[in-house]
Amino acid sequence: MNAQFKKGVLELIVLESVRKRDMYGYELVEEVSKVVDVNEGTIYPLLKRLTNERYFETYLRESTEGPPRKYYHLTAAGVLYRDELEREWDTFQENVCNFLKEHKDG
Amino acid sequence: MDKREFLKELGKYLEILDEKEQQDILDEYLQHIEMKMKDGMSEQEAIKDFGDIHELAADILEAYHVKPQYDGKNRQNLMKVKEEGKKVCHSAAEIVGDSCRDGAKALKRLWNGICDILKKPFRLAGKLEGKMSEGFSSLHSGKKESKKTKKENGVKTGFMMGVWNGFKRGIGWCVSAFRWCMRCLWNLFMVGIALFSGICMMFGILFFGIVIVLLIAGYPLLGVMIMTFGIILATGALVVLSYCSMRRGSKKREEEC
Repeated sequence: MNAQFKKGVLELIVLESVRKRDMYGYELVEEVSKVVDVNEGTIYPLLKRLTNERYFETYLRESTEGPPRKYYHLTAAGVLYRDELEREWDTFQENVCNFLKEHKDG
Repeated sequence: MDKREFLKELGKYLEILDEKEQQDILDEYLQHIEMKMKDGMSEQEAIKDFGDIHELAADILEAYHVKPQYDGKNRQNLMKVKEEGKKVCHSAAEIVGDSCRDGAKALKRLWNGICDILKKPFRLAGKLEGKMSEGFSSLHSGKKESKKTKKENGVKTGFMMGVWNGFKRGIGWCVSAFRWCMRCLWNLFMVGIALFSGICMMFGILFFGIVIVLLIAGYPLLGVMIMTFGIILATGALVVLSYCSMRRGSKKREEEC
């Protein structure tokens, strides 16, 4: 799959995954990998950026195995941002679909 | 490449970032590798999954709005700049240190001068007492001689001398009592100042604490905080000054001896 495609929707997928429940990094990487085949390394910088932009909050929670895990939680600003991205995505993919359909028919 | 090498390499690219932030990122990657290994993947495979380390670092730096070109060459420049900065800092520190030393010397001189001025009244009082007793004794001797020539009465002179000595002792007591009172008053005055400034200092510290808490909570009180700190220092200095200016009896006695 085209790397540029992935990059664009990755943010939306990450935001949506965390909206359902708080997740730690590795868990989130696995969740996202189910949808798009993406280099795992690139999700952490994305999480960092979204945290720096206050769309995520982080907190540490002890785990039964290994060191405490850093959990990501979607903030109110994050929810708004996710909704906006979803709207953008919907119109974008609708437009692209319509365009492709017209050309096929025509 | 094992995970330690990988993290070290990645850390090199991230040097531009804050120390804590770097550690945060590296911890995250270390945890990721360890979890992959727990899932049955080898260390090498887990690291390979991250792809090119340079691209990964560029991705991370991009998230911090840092130019990804910030690598080796620039790092060397950065080191140079750091060295230069260190040198400048060192020389600046030397200058500041020297001027501080000079300032301290000047302050010491000033303090000695102030002490001299403060001590003057006491020294004058001491001299006055000495002169007074001298004067009295000369007066006494003059009287004695005149009386000797006039009457030449040994018994009467002895009696007069006794009276005179008593009188002299009385005056001496009066003077030392007066001096004691003066010292007492002076010390009371100083204790008053010390107590007052001490209380002010306590309130200052209390206020300082409150201001710091408010400052941390986000109120723009930096100026007030610095001011309060200044007040604390000033009142503290006043306490020390008034304590040092107290006249102690034992010192006095030594001087008298």
